[in-house]
Amino acid sequence: MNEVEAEAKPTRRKLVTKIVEATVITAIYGLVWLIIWFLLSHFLGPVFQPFSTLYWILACALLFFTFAIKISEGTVYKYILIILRSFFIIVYIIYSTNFGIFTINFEGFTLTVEFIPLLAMMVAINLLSIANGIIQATEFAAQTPED
Amino acid sequence: MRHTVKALRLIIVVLWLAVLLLPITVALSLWEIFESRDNIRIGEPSFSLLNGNFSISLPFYMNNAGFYDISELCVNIRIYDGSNEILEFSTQPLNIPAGRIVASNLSASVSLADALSRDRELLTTSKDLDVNVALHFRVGYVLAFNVAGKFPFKWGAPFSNLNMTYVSSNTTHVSFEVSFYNNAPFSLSGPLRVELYNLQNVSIGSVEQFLDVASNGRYQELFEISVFQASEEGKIRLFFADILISEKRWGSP
Repeated sequence: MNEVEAEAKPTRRKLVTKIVEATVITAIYGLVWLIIWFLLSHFLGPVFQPFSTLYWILACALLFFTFAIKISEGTVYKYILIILRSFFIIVYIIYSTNFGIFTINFEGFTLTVEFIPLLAMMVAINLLSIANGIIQATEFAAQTPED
Repeated sequence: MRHTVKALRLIIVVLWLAVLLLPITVALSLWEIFESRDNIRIGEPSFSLLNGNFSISLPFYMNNAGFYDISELCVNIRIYDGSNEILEFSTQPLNIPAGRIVASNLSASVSLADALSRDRELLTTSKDLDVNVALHFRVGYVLAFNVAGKFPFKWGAPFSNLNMTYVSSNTTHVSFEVSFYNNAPFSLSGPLRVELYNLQNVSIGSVEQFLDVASNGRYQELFEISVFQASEEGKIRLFFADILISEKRWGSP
Protein backbone atom coordinates (compact mmCIF):
# COMPACT_ATOMS: atom_id res chain seq x y z
CA MET A 1 0.00 0.00 0.00
CA ASN A 2 2.85 2.36 0.90
CA GLU A 3 4.61 1.54 -2.39
CA VAL A 4 1.47 2.42 -4.36
CA GLU A 5 1.09 5.69 -2.46
CA ALA A 6 4.74 6.54 -3.07
CA GLU A 7 4.25 5.96 -6.82
CA ALA A 8 1.03 8.00 -6.95
CA LYS A 9 2.55 11.09 -5.29
CA PRO A 10 4.87 12.21 -8.16
CA THR A 11 2.08 11.47 -10.66
CA ARG A 12 -0.32 13.69 -8.68
CA ARG A 13 2.37 16.37 -8.38
CA LYS A 14 2.99 16.13 -12.12
CA LEU A 15 -0.74 16.56 -12.80
CA VAL A 16 -0.98 19.56 -10.47
CA THR A 17 2.06 21.14 -12.18
CA LYS A 18 0.45 20.50 -15.58
CA ILE A 19 -2.83 22.08 -14.48
CA VAL A 20 -1.06 25.13 -13.05
CA GLU A 21 1.05 25.48 -16.19
CA ALA A 22 -2.01 25.11 -18.46
CA THR A 23 -3.97 27.62 -16.36
CA VAL A 24 -1.18 30.20 -16.51
CA ILE A 25 -0.74 29.80 -20.29
CA THR A 26 -4.51 29.92 -20.86
CA ALA A 27 -4.73 33.04 -18.67
CA ILE A 28 -1.98 34.73 -20.72
CA TYR A 29 -3.80 33.86 -23.96
CA GLY A 30 -7.07 35.07 -22.38
CA LEU A 31 -5.42 38.38 -21.57
CA VAL A 32 -4.26 38.72 -25.18
CA TRP A 33 -7.82 38.03 -26.44
CA LEU A 34 -9.14 40.61 -23.96
CA ILE A 35 -6.63 43.27 -25.09
CA ILE A 36 -7.54 42.61 -28.76
CA TRP A 37 -11.25 42.90 -27.84
CA PHE A 38 -10.62 46.22 -26.06
CA LEU A 39 -8.66 47.57 -29.04
CA LEU A 40 -11.29 46.46 -31.58
CA SER A 41 -14.16 47.85 -29.46
CA HIS A 42 -12.30 51.12 -29.00
CA PHE A 43 -11.23 51.71 -32.60
CA LEU A 44 -14.06 50.08 -34.55
CA GLY A 45 -16.86 50.72 -32.01
CA PRO A 46 -20.29 50.25 -33.59
CA VAL A 47 -18.85 48.33 -36.57
CA PHE A 48 -17.35 45.67 -34.28
CA GLN A 49 -20.28 45.45 -31.85
CA PRO A 50 -22.44 42.99 -33.89
CA PHE A 51 -19.46 40.63 -34.12
CA SER A 52 -18.70 40.70 -30.39
CA THR A 53 -20.53 37.40 -29.72
CA LEU A 54 -18.75 35.66 -32.60
CA TYR A 55 -15.44 37.00 -31.30
CA TRP A 56 -16.02 35.59 -27.80
CA ILE A 57 -17.16 32.22 -29.16
CA LEU A 58 -13.83 31.95 -31.02
CA ALA A 59 -11.83 33.22 -28.03
CA CYS A 60 -13.49 30.86 -25.51
CA ALA A 61 -13.22 27.84 -27.83
CA LEU A 62 -9.54 28.48 -28.56
CA LEU A 63 -8.82 29.09 -24.85
CA PHE A 64 -10.51 25.78 -24.04
CA PHE A 65 -8.38 24.01 -26.68
CA THR A 66 -5.21 25.71 -25.37
CA PHE A 67 -5.96 24.50 -21.84
CA ALA A 68 -6.97 20.98 -22.93
CA ILE A 69 -3.97 20.54 -25.26
CA LYS A 70 -1.57 21.70 -22.54
CA ILE A 71 -3.13 19.31 -19.99
CA SER A 72 -3.04 16.36 -22.39
CA GLU A 73 0.62 16.85 -23.34
CA GLY A 74 2.47 13.53 -23.48
CA THR A 75 -0.68 11.64 -24.44
CA VAL A 76 -2.35 10.85 -27.76
CA TYR A 77 -5.29 13.09 -26.73
CA LYS A 78 -3.13 16.13 -27.46
CA TYR A 79 -3.15 15.28 -31.18
CA ILE A 80 -6.84 14.43 -31.16
CA LEU A 81 -7.51 17.85 -29.63
CA ILE A 82 -5.29 19.54 -32.26
CA ILE A 83 -7.35 17.80 -34.98
CA LEU A 84 -10.61 18.82 -33.27
CA ARG A 85 -9.39 22.42 -33.00
CA SER A 86 -8.69 22.52 -36.73
CA PHE A 87 -12.16 21.08 -37.45
CA PHE A 88 -13.69 23.71 -35.19
CA ILE A 89 -11.77 26.53 -36.94
CA ILE A 90 -12.91 25.29 -40.38
CA VAL A 91 -16.58 25.20 -39.30
CA TYR A 92 -16.26 28.51 -37.45
CA ILE A 93 -14.65 30.50 -40.29
CA ILE A 94 -17.11 29.13 -42.84
CA TYR A 95 -20.11 29.93 -40.61
CA SER A 96 -18.94 33.27 -39.22
CA THR A 97 -17.89 34.64 -42.61
CA ASN A 98 -21.05 33.41 -44.34
CA PHE A 99 -19.03 31.27 -46.78
CA GLY A 100 -16.51 34.06 -47.41
CA ILE A 101 -18.95 36.93 -47.82
CA PHE A 102 -18.72 39.43 -45.02
CA THR A 103 -21.29 42.22 -44.70
CA ILE A 104 -21.16 45.33 -42.52
CA ASN A 105 -23.98 47.88 -42.31
CA PHE A 106 -22.83 51.34 -41.35
CA GLU A 107 -24.72 54.65 -41.45
CA GLY A 108 -27.03 53.65 -44.30
CA PHE A 109 -24.27 52.04 -46.34
CA THR A 110 -23.59 48.35 -46.78
CA LEU A 111 -20.03 47.19 -47.26
CA THR A 112 -19.62 43.64 -48.52
CA VAL A 113 -16.22 42.01 -48.71
CA GLU A 114 -15.99 38.77 -50.65
CA PHE A 115 -12.90 36.71 -49.86
CA ILE A 116 -13.81 33.20 -50.99
CA PRO A 117 -10.26 32.44 -52.31
CA LEU A 118 -8.81 33.52 -48.96
CA LEU A 119 -11.37 31.40 -47.09
CA ALA A 120 -10.46 28.41 -49.29
CA MET A 121 -6.82 28.98 -48.35
CA MET A 122 -7.69 29.09 -44.62
CA VAL A 123 -9.67 25.86 -44.95
CA ALA A 124 -6.71 24.29 -46.79
CA ILE A 125 -4.33 25.37 -44.01
CA ASN A 126 -6.57 23.77 -41.39
CA LEU A 127 -6.85 20.59 -43.47
CA LEU A 128 -3.04 20.52 -43.55
CA SER A 129 -3.10 21.02 -39.79
CA ILE A 130 -5.46 18.03 -39.46
CA ALA A 131 -3.12 15.94 -41.64
CA ASN A 132 -0.20 17.05 -39.48
CA GLY A 133 -2.12 16.07 -36.33
CA ILE A 134 -2.96 12.62 -37.76
CA ILE A 135 0.69 11.98 -38.70
CA GLN A 136 1.87 13.09 -35.25
CA ALA A 137 -0.78 10.94 -33.53
CA THR A 138 0.25 7.90 -35.63
CA GLU A 139 3.92 8.54 -34.84
CA PHE A 140 3.12 8.88 -31.13
CA ALA A 141 1.05 5.67 -31.08
CA ALA A 142 3.82 3.78 -32.90
CA GLN A 143 6.43 4.77 -30.31
CA THR A 144 7.62 2.07 -27.92
CA PRO A 145 8.34 2.90 -24.25
CA GLU A 146 12.08 2.78 -25.12
CA ASP A 147 11.60 5.63 -27.65
CA MET B 1 7.77 11.02 -40.54
CA ARG B 2 9.51 13.76 -38.59
CA HIS B 3 10.59 15.45 -41.83
CA THR B 4 7.02 15.28 -43.12
CA VAL B 5 5.73 16.85 -39.90
CA LYS B 6 8.41 19.58 -40.08
CA ALA B 7 7.64 20.28 -43.75
CA LEU B 8 3.91 20.44 -43.02
CA ARG B 9 4.49 22.85 -40.13
CA LEU B 10 6.62 25.08 -42.36
CA ILE B 11 3.98 25.08 -45.10
CA ILE B 12 1.26 25.90 -42.53
CA VAL B 13 3.29 28.82 -41.13
CA VAL B 14 4.06 30.19 -44.63
CA LEU B 15 0.42 29.89 -45.70
CA TRP B 16 -0.84 31.58 -42.51
CA LEU B 17 1.62 34.42 -43.10
CA ALA B 18 0.34 34.78 -46.68
CA VAL B 19 -3.30 34.71 -45.52
CA LEU B 20 -2.62 37.39 -42.88
CA LEU B 21 -0.40 39.56 -45.07
CA LEU B 22 -2.75 39.64 -48.06
CA PRO B 23 -5.59 41.62 -46.37
CA ILE B 24 -3.05 43.95 -44.76
CA THR B 25 -1.34 44.71 -48.09
CA VAL B 26 -4.74 45.09 -49.81
CA ALA B 27 -5.77 47.58 -47.10
CA LEU B 28 -2.49 49.49 -47.58
CA SER B 29 -3.00 49.46 -51.34
CA LEU B 30 -6.51 50.90 -50.98
CA TRP B 31 -5.18 53.48 -48.52
CA GLU B 32 -2.61 54.56 -51.14
CA ILE B 33 -5.44 55.10 -53.62
CA PHE B 34 -7.98 56.78 -51.36
CA GLU B 35 -5.63 58.96 -49.27
CA SER B 36 -5.38 61.48 -52.11
CA ARG B 37 -8.63 62.96 -53.42
CA ASP B 38 -7.06 63.48 -56.82
CA ASN B 39 -6.73 59.73 -57.39
CA ILE B 40 -10.46 59.25 -57.98
CA ARG B 41 -12.82 61.66 -59.68
CA ILE B 42 -16.43 61.02 -60.60
CA GLY B 43 -18.20 63.56 -62.80
CA GLU B 44 -21.85 64.56 -63.08
CA PRO B 45 -24.01 61.75 -64.47
CA SER B 46 -25.80 62.47 -67.73
CA PHE B 47 -29.00 60.79 -68.86
CA SER B 48 -30.42 60.41 -72.33
CA LEU B 49 -33.40 58.79 -73.95
CA LEU B 50 -32.82 57.96 -77.59
CA ASN B 51 -34.87 55.64 -79.76
CA GLY B 52 -36.41 53.77 -76.87
CA ASN B 53 -33.17 53.27 -74.95
CA PHE B 54 -32.58 54.98 -71.64
CA SER B 55 -28.85 55.58 -71.06
CA ILE B 56 -26.76 56.83 -68.17
CA SER B 57 -23.16 57.96 -68.46
CA LEU B 58 -20.80 58.70 -65.57
CA PRO B 59 -17.39 60.27 -66.30
CA PHE B 60 -14.79 58.41 -64.23
CA TYR B 61 -11.11 58.98 -63.58
CA MET B 62 -8.85 56.83 -61.44
CA ASN B 63 -5.16 56.74 -60.70
CA ASN B 64 -4.39 53.29 -59.32
CA ALA B 65 -1.59 54.32 -56.95
CA GLY B 66 -1.84 51.02 -55.07
CA PHE B 67 0.23 47.90 -55.65
CA TYR B 68 -2.56 45.57 -56.82
CA ASP B 69 -4.57 45.57 -60.04
CA ILE B 70 -8.18 46.64 -59.68
CA SER B 71 -10.57 44.61 -61.78
CA GLU B 72 -14.31 44.31 -62.39
CA LEU B 73 -14.86 47.94 -61.39
CA CYS B 74 -18.48 48.69 -62.14
CA VAL B 75 -21.50 50.56 -60.87
CA ASN B 76 -24.86 48.90 -60.50
CA ILE B 77 -27.96 51.06 -60.17
CA ARG B 78 -31.36 49.66 -59.27
CA ILE B 79 -34.44 51.82 -59.14
CA TYR B 80 -37.37 50.73 -56.99
CA ASP B 81 -40.94 51.90 -56.62
CA GLY B 82 -41.63 50.58 -53.12
CA SER B 83 -40.55 46.96 -53.33
CA ASN B 84 -41.05 46.73 -57.09
CA GLU B 85 -37.79 46.87 -59.08
CA ILE B 86 -38.39 48.90 -62.22
CA LEU B 87 -34.95 49.59 -63.65
CA GLU B 88 -31.49 48.06 -63.42
CA PHE B 89 -28.31 49.46 -64.93
CA SER B 90 -24.91 47.83 -64.83
CA THR B 91 -21.93 49.60 -66.31
CA GLN B 92 -19.31 47.73 -68.30
CA PRO B 93 -16.57 46.43 -65.95
CA LEU B 94 -13.27 48.34 -66.00
CA ASN B 95 -9.81 46.93 -65.29
CA ILE B 96 -7.18 49.28 -63.90
CA PRO B 97 -3.69 47.76 -63.62
CA ALA B 98 -1.47 48.90 -60.74
CA GLY B 99 0.29 52.19 -61.41
CA ARG B 100 -1.95 53.11 -64.35
CA ILE B 101 -4.37 56.00 -64.85
CA VAL B 102 -7.74 55.36 -66.43
CA ALA B 103 -10.13 58.06 -67.62
CA SER B 104 -13.31 56.59 -68.97
CA ASN B 105 -17.05 56.75 -68.99
CA LEU B 106 -19.01 54.30 -66.92
CA SER B 107 -22.05 53.91 -69.11
CA ALA B 108 -25.09 51.69 -69.20
CA SER B 109 -28.35 51.61 -71.07
CA VAL B 110 -31.65 49.86 -70.66
CA SER B 111 -34.59 49.37 -72.98
CA LEU B 112 -37.43 51.74 -72.10
CA ALA B 113 -39.98 49.14 -73.20
CA ASP B 114 -38.52 46.69 -70.67
CA ALA B 115 -38.71 49.26 -67.86
CA LEU B 116 -42.25 50.24 -68.77
CA SER B 117 -43.41 46.65 -68.77
CA ARG B 118 -42.82 46.85 -65.00
CA ASP B 119 -44.39 50.27 -64.40
CA ARG B 120 -46.31 52.09 -67.15
CA GLU B 121 -47.10 55.09 -64.96
CA LEU B 122 -43.45 56.22 -65.07
CA LEU B 123 -44.01 57.95 -68.41
CA THR B 124 -46.85 60.16 -67.31
CA THR B 125 -46.65 60.35 -63.49
CA SER B 126 -43.85 61.89 -61.41
CA LYS B 127 -43.02 59.74 -58.39
CA ASP B 128 -40.78 59.39 -55.35
CA LEU B 129 -38.55 56.39 -56.03
CA ASP B 130 -35.67 54.67 -54.24
CA VAL B 131 -32.30 54.20 -55.90
CA ASN B 132 -29.81 51.56 -54.84
CA VAL B 133 -26.31 52.44 -56.02
CA ALA B 134 -23.58 49.82 -55.62
CA LEU B 135 -19.91 50.18 -56.47
CA HIS B 136 -18.15 46.88 -57.05
CA PHE B 137 -14.44 46.19 -57.54
CA ARG B 138 -11.93 43.41 -57.00
CA VAL B 139 -8.42 44.00 -55.65
CA GLY B 140 -5.60 41.71 -56.68
CA TYR B 141 -8.17 39.36 -58.27
CA VAL B 142 -8.74 37.90 -54.76
CA LEU B 143 -10.71 40.29 -52.57
CA ALA B 144 -13.94 41.80 -53.89
CA PHE B 145 -15.55 44.88 -52.37
CA ASN B 146 -19.08 46.08 -52.80
CA VAL B 147 -20.25 49.37 -51.32
CA ALA B 148 -23.98 49.97 -51.59
CA GLY B 149 -26.23 52.78 -50.49
CA LYS B 150 -29.93 53.60 -50.82
CA PHE B 151 -31.10 57.08 -51.72
CA PRO B 152 -34.49 58.70 -52.39
CA PHE B 153 -34.95 59.87 -55.97
CA LYS B 154 -37.60 62.17 -57.38
CA TRP B 155 -38.58 60.84 -60.77
CA GLY B 156 -39.88 63.45 -63.20
CA ALA B 157 -42.16 61.92 -65.81
CA PRO B 158 -41.15 62.68 -69.41
CA PHE B 159 -44.80 63.01 -70.49
CA SER B 160 -46.21 64.96 -67.52
CA ASN B 161 -49.62 66.64 -67.91
CA LEU B 162 -50.17 64.85 -71.19
CA ASN B 163 -53.12 66.24 -73.15
CA MET B 164 -54.47 64.96 -76.44
CA THR B 165 -57.22 67.42 -77.32
CA TYR B 166 -59.60 66.89 -80.22
CA VAL B 167 -59.70 70.09 -82.26
CA SER B 168 -61.74 69.47 -85.42
CA SER B 169 -62.55 66.96 -88.12
CA ASN B 170 -63.83 66.83 -91.67
CA THR B 171 -64.22 64.04 -94.21
CA THR B 172 -60.47 63.86 -94.93
CA HIS B 173 -58.70 65.12 -91.79
CA VAL B 174 -58.92 64.94 -88.02
CA SER B 175 -56.95 67.48 -85.95
CA PHE B 176 -55.54 66.92 -82.47
CA GLU B 177 -53.42 69.01 -80.24
CA VAL B 178 -50.83 67.10 -78.20
CA SER B 179 -49.05 68.78 -75.31
CA PHE B 180 -46.94 67.68 -72.34
CA TYR B 181 -44.10 68.75 -70.05
CA ASN B 182 -40.84 66.86 -70.05
CA ASN B 183 -40.10 66.79 -66.32
CA ALA B 184 -37.44 64.07 -66.72
CA PRO B 185 -33.75 64.85 -66.11
CA PHE B 186 -33.00 64.00 -69.75
CA SER B 187 -34.09 65.32 -73.13
CA LEU B 188 -36.61 63.35 -75.16
CA SER B 189 -35.54 62.47 -78.63
CA GLY B 190 -37.31 60.06 -80.97
CA PRO B 191 -40.35 59.50 -83.15
CA LEU B 192 -43.77 60.43 -81.75
CA ARG B 193 -46.68 58.78 -83.53
CA VAL B 194 -50.40 59.45 -83.27
CA GLU B 195 -52.75 56.69 -84.45
CA LEU B 196 -56.49 57.03 -84.91
CA TYR B 197 -58.99 54.19 -84.70
CA ASN B 198 -62.71 54.07 -85.29
CA LEU B 199 -65.15 52.52 -82.82
CA GLN B 200 -64.61 49.10 -84.40
CA ASN B 201 -60.90 49.43 -83.50
CA VAL B 202 -59.86 49.68 -87.16
CA SER B 203 -56.97 52.03 -87.89
CA ILE B 204 -58.15 54.98 -89.96
CA GLY B 205 -54.99 57.07 -90.04
CA SER B 206 -51.71 57.95 -88.40
CA VAL B 207 -49.03 60.59 -88.42
CA GLU B 208 -45.49 60.62 -87.11
CA GLN B 209 -43.21 63.42 -86.04
CA PHE B 210 -39.65 63.43 -84.76
CA LEU B 211 -39.53 65.24 -81.45
CA ASP B 212 -36.67 66.70 -79.49
CA VAL B 213 -37.75 68.16 -76.16
CA ALA B 214 -35.18 69.40 -73.66
CA SER B 215 -35.36 68.50 -69.98
CA ASN B 216 -38.01 70.65 -68.25
CA GLY B 217 -39.24 71.76 -71.67
CA ARG B 218 -42.82 71.92 -72.94
CA TYR B 219 -44.09 70.31 -76.10
CA GLN B 220 -47.21 71.46 -77.90
CA GLU B 221 -48.04 70.51 -81.46
CA LEU B 222 -51.06 70.29 -83.70
CA PHE B 223 -51.40 66.99 -85.54
CA GLU B 224 -53.49 66.91 -88.73
CA ILE B 225 -54.17 63.31 -89.51
CA SER B 226 -55.45 62.41 -92.93
CA VAL B 227 -58.06 59.68 -92.57
CA PHE B 228 -59.25 57.31 -95.28
CA GLN B 229 -62.58 56.67 -93.58
CA ALA B 230 -64.69 59.45 -92.13
CA SER B 231 -65.39 59.04 -88.44
CA GLU B 232 -66.52 61.35 -85.70
CA GLU B 233 -65.45 59.27 -82.79
CA GLY B 234 -63.12 56.46 -81.87
CA LYS B 235 -59.80 55.96 -80.10
CA ILE B 236 -56.53 57.84 -80.25
CA ARG B 237 -53.22 56.23 -79.33
CA LEU B 238 -49.96 58.02 -78.75
CA PHE B 239 -46.67 56.16 -79.26
CA PHE B 240 -43.12 57.19 -78.55
CA ALA B 241 -40.44 55.00 -80.16
CA ASP B 242 -43.10 52.28 -80.68
CA ILE B 243 -44.03 52.37 -76.98
CA LEU B 244 -47.66 53.08 -76.19
CA ILE B 245 -47.81 56.20 -74.01
CA SER B 246 -51.51 56.82 -73.77
CA GLU B 247 -54.85 55.77 -75.22
CA LYS B 248 -58.16 57.58 -74.95
CA ARG B 249 -61.52 58.03 -76.64
CA TRP B 250 -62.08 60.95 -78.95
CA GLY B 251 -65.10 62.54 -80.62
CA SER B 252 -68.64 63.18 -79.49
CA PRO B 253 -69.53 61.61 -76.13
